[in-house]
Amino acid sequence: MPGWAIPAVLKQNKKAVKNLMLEQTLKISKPFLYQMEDWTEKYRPRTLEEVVGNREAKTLLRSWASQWNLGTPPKKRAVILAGKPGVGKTSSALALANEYNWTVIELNASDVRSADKIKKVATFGALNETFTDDGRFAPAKKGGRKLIILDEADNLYERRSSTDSSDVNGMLDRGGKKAIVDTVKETKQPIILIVNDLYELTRGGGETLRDLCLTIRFNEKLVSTNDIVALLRRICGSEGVYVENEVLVTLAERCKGDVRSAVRDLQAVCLGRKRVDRSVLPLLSYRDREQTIFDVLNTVFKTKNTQYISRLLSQSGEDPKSLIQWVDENLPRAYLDVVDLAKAYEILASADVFLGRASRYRAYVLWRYAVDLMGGGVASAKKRVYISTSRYQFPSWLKEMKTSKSLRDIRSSIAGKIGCYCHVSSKKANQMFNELQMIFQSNPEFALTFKEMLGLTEDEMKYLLGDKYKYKPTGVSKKEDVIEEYDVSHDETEKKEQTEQLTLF
Amino acid sequence: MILLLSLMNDIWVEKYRPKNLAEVVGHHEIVERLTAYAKAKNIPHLLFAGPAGTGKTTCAIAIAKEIFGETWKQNFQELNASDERGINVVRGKIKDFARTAPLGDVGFKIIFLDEADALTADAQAALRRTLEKYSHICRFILSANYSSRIIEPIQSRCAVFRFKPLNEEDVKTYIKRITENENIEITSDGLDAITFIARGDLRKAVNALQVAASVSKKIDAETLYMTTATAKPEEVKDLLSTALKGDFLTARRKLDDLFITYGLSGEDIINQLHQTIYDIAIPEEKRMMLIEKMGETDFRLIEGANERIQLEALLAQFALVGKTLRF
Repeated sequence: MPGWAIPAVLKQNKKAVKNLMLEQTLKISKPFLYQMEDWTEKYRPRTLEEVVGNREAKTLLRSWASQWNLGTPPKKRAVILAGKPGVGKTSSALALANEYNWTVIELNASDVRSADKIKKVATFGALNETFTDDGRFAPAKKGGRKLIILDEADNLYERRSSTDSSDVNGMLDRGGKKAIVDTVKETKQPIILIVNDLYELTRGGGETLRDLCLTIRFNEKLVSTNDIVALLRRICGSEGVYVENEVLVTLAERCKGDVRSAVRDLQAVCLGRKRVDRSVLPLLSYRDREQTIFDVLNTVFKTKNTQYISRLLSQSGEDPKSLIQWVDENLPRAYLDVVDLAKAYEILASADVFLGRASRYRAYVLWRYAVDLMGGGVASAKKRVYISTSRYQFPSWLKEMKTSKSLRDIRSSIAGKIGCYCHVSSKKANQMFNELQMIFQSNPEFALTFKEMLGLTEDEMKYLLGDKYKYKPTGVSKKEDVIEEYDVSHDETEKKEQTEQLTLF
Repeated sequence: MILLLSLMNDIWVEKYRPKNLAEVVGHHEIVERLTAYAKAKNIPHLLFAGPAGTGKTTCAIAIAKEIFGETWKQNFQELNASDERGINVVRGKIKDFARTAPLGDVGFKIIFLDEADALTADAQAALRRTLEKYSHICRFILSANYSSRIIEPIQSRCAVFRFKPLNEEDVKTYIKRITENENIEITSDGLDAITFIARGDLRKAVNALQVAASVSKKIDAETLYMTTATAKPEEVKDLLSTALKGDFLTARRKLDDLFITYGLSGEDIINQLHQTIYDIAIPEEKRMMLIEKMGETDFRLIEGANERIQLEALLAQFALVGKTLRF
């Protein structure tokens, strides 16, 4: 469920969100709620034309790319795209590659190993064939090029201040930077460096790099509200949702050129609706310059700058209990190397221990350690850098546990009754469950006798016997009925538990 | 099938639970002492210590029946401490029953507190007071797997009886009693199989017998192993091997399934993981390392940590061990 900004919305207007969530619960079949596609990915521009605003920057970019396609590399072999988050830097780079039919190799610049990798990919001739970072084959097609995109290139220098013990005196950083500079000098493939902060990249000896590259700025002020509104309207049309103009304009104005956040917010207000009117406007006031959970996850999973992460987490205003669920849900998809995963989970688990202690002793001062560990701790656990997409999933576990509560209640109620009859604890009865189920399923008549003896309810019998429960004299139950009945009870339970859930998400 | 249906009309562990002390198999000295108490119509507080399925509950019920006769149900309160283990159950239910007047002419009632070792330390301390305060109208029978898990002050107020695992002959005697009565045939290798499966736990033996009898009229070793294997939950083993293979996301899906579909608690899962840890082929020092992690995880769960996150961290350790095995 990426693109869903409910957690932050909560802080502003709990009641409205509750209604919103209730509506969603009723309209959308629940388990699939979190699988919805992220609109920021779904509607990522395919051509430069589709990228909203910054016309001049796009023209510059295109003419640079055309020079590559003339055969001889241009004098400046790399481009730095600089600009605020969400203005379209990465989208432009990807759209460019799409237009020119270049294969994209996306690398993260923030560690030495990938600097070497970049160098390898870049300096091999166009005829060489390579693999993309995730192992896919990237053939150098005849005349086709490989566009190397270094996202978050400003992170390369951020690590100077990191507490990573392995990079004493920033030695590794210098090596990394040098590798990038060398690469840019020698590359036979186009390179695009993407940065939020140009100063970060070029300070302290970064001048060489800046001289070597063509700098193109994406200015968030050059993204017009009208263009954003047009984009949002197009998305609504394709999603089949009617959204009142006033809402679209508010979204477009409020994002201050951060188109991605506008799309994200649009998805948040559209979720589960066919019509969106101005009544959602009060919900939208939360975002202003607040970091979303996705940005937090991105930083934790993709960088190692613990100091920065710590600041980010405290600014996000997220409840650590909700935060840890987000990290937990997405960690195994982000850290693909099991060594890193085990280490990160060890740290996440100790963060959880602090949360537990805090609740137990009502000593919420301990939360800060939990936050440090789940953020910087998890970030520093990795030995390599992962270039994953930002398709983060909604932490569904708590929700699923609640959804399944009525079924689990049935089970524990049966176990309690059996335990009472057999003079054992319900825990032990739970262990006998499979055996009893087997006995009952091969002796449904006995199961009926047993039902009377123990006072089992219809639901409990259905649970025990599954589709074999058709021996009831009055005979109503087919399996479909069973499922339907459970569904109804789910909804009811869920309704009741929405309030509780709100405090968690 | 129709023939079988008429046969089964109760859960056999209950149907064949000994009705009186004389029917109890094994534990001759204990039965002799208890019979003497029953005759005198008086008992001290008792502590029955021993493994599962050896007859602790049976003896408690049997002695109550012999002492109280017709009114045994009114004078006998059974509580399972592992279901309600906090201090509130001692202050509430236990105290309430302890202070009500006994029915009939015996002069006291019996509270049977099963799995008393599950009581928290606070609850046990509170129980000690109750034991003393109401001993004139209420006697306690506590059961526990180990007497040492009950705090000293309570132990010293109880007569302690140790129940040993039942030997093979006792198990066979008991099983034959059932097969004869149910008119089912069990082969001698079937009997051996049952004693092997039961390992001194009569409840396990009888359950295994009934499951086998529910699918076949003639019971041999093969039927028994087949049915017990089918009835035995393999999900945790499956979870472990998936984690060892390094497929963490699938392992997590399976873990969620145990929580969500099977209604297991983190504690249940870790119990089963611990039972399975010797069944997997890994170097001994890794096994010990994992056991240590398991212990730490268990402790954290007791302290109130999040079940899923802690178990995920444990699974990641299994995945890590699995990785070192593959290279």
